[in-house]
Amino acid sequence: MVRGAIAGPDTPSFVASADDIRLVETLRAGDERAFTSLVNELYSSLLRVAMIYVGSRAVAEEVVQETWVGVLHGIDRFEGRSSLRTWIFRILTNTAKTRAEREGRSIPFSALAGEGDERESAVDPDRFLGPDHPTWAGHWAAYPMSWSEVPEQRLLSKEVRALIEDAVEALPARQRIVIRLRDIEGFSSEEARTILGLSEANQRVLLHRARSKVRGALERYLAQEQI
Amino acid sequence: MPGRACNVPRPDETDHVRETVLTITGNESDWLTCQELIELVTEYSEGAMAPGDRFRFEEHIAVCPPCRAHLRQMRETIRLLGQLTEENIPPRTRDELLNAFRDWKRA
Repeated sequence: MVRGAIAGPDTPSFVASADDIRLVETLRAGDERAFTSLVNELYSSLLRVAMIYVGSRAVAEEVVQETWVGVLHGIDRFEGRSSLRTWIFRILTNTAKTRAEREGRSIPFSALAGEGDERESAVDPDRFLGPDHPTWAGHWAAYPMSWSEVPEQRLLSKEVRALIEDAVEALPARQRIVIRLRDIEGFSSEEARTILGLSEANQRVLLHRARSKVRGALERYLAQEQI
Repeated sequence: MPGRACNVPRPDETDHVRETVLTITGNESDWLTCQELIELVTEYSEGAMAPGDRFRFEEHIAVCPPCRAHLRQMRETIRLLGQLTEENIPPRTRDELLNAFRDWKRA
């Protein structure tokens, strides 16, 4: 229901859609059902993102509640310059940051440790022929296998889901938050950048590293299985 | 000129495509290695590549089955990430929020 405007070539995706505007009017009018449905829809995403800032689940739950209070108090000032979802997430990240600071856990997003500019390979370099190879340096030595033979029900099994969840949880914080917004919650690149205050290139590097690691985890798991 | 097809004996048709691509593009130094290509996958899928780089990416993918397999794995990973189940809101939290909404409405 709450979608950012469809990103076409001419329409920046961070502008509120007609649906957003209607929903905001419904909320301003005090429609409980619209509110509850929005709260349900965004709960999981808000909680996960909050947890990245504040660490504990209990505090994250409080942050989500505070966020909704902030949303209600600010909704008359919502001008539709971003999608409603982006706007709500910005309130969340601000609330979460304030809370983290108060608890002495303050880590500005831009300075979260352990994932600076150091080089990181998307695939283990050992999978490629070394630079001394006469003709095939930098080409695959150990091939990626095809997953097309893996049955869909296997890929969607609880076990594989848990594996993916674990791989995401094991990521450094900034990679985790970017992959969550982009691939799990389905935010556009522009929305995610607006929420997190990241440059396009920066977000892309984080997303690439995050996806590559999750892919690696899946590959290891599925390879094991096929033996 | 070294063979270009990522260290595998290729089916003839792949060799043919590869030769054609190299004939068109010529320059060996333009060729991406597989190891370079896999670092560009997200840049490619985000549509953030300059046209020249995009062409080099696509010409490599066209002749390199293992890189295609890698690309498909990345797409599959993204698809599966999108299927993760969401957590439902605990009823107590929902009720508290609904109360907050009613308070706000009254104010």
